[in-house]
Amino acid sequence: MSTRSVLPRLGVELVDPEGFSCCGYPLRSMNDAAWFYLSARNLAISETQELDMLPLCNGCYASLNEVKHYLDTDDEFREQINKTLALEGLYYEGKHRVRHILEVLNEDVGVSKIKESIKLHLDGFDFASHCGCHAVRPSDFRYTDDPEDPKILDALIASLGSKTSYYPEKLDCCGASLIMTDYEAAFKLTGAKLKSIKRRGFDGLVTNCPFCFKMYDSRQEAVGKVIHEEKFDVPVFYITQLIGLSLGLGSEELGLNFNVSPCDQVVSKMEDSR
Amino acid sequence: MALKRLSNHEKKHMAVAEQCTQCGKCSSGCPAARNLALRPRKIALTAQRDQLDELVGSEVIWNCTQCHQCMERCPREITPYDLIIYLQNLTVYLGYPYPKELDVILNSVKRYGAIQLPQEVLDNEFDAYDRQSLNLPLLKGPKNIDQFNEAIEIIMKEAHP
Repeated sequence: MSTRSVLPRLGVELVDPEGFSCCGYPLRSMNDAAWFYLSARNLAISETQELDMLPLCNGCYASLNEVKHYLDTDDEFREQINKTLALEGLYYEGKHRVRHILEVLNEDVGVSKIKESIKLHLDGFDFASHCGCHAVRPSDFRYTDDPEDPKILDALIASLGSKTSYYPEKLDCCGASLIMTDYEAAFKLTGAKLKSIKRRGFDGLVTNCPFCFKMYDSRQEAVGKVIHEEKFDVPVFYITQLIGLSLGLGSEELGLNFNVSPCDQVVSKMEDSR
Repeated sequence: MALKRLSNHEKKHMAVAEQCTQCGKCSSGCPAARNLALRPRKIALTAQRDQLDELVGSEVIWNCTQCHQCMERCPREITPYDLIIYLQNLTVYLGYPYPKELDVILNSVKRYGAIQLPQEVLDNEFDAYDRQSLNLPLLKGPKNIDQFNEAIEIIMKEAHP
C-alpha cells in the first residue's frame, strides 16, 4: 500500500499485469524445475507490458533475477522453458530487467529528489536498517548494493533526516524462509535480531522487504514465546511507509494502521516535530 | 527430452568435492549454523568423502535459510547451498520424509497460482479489510488454470535430480 502511495508521488508509475503467479521460490527445495518455470512465466507476463518488473519482496526479486540470468545466458535452456511456456501462450525473450525497490528509489528517483520532496524531517531518530539477504546476495546474479556493507537503505533513511547506527546483526537473515517448515527455528533467527535492536535502544527497524517486514512486525509476540523474551515492542516500518510519513502522507494511506508492532509513538513523535 | 538443469547438480557436486579447502567461511557466516544444527562446511566435507547418501532424507538439510551467505563468501566460488538444494530435491524425489508444508504450497500454487488466497487483514482496531476495500488490484492468478497446471506438471516430470 505504501509503495503504491509513495512511488507515483516520486514520478514512478506502476502497472499491474494480469496473470502473475507465485515466483516459485518456495518450491525450489522440492523440485527446482517448478521454480524455474514459475519465475520464467512471470518474467514472460511482465514482458508483455514492455516494462521492467518491480517485485517488492527480496525473495521474489532474487528468484526472478536468478532464473532470468539462466534464461539469458543459456539458449538451450531458454528454448526448453519456452516450449513449456507455449502451453500457456507465453514466450520469454529477455528484453526487460527485474528491478529492486532500493535500486528504483536510489537510481530512478534518487536521494536528491527524495530530499527535495519531503515535508517532514525525521530528525532525532535512530533506526536499525535491515535490507535482507536477497537484496544483496549472491552478488553474481544481480547488482543492488555491497553484499558485505550495504549502504543504499541507510542512505535513503538518512535522506529523511534519521540516523542508522551500525549493529552487528545487520546482515543477519530474518528466518522467513523457514517459517513454513520449522517455525521455531525461524523465530530463533528473528528473535536474535529483535533482541539486539531492543537492547541497543533503536527507535525501530526499517526494511525494504515485505517478507522480512512480516517476520519482524507481526510476529514479535510469537517470537518472544519461542526465545523466552518478555516483550520486544520494536516499531517496524516498511521503507516506503517511512518515506511516505516524511512526504506528509497520512497513516492510513501508508497502511500504518495494519502494522502490528507499536509504531504509534514514533509516528506521533514525527508529527509533533512538524 | 529431460529438462536441462542449470542448477547442474552433478557438476557443482564435483566442484565442491574437488575444490573445497575446508576453510569454514561458509559455516562461520551461516545463520543456521549459529542457531541450528546445519554446518555447511560439514556438508562440503561429506561430499568430499563421497558420503552424501547419508544426508539424503536427513532433517538437517531443512535447516538452510537460503540466505546465500555461504555462496557469497566462499573464496573458491563454490557453494554448499547448491548441494543442500540438491539434497532436498533428491529427498523429495526418492520419497524420503520431507516437510509436508511443501505439498501444501505446491497444491495451493496449482489451485490458485499463489501460496495462499488473498486474505482479509485486521487493522489496529480489529476491523477487517479485503483488497477491494483498500483499492488494491484483485489478484486473479493465471488466466487459464488448467493450462498452468499442465505446464507445471510437465516441467516437474521432465526434471529429476
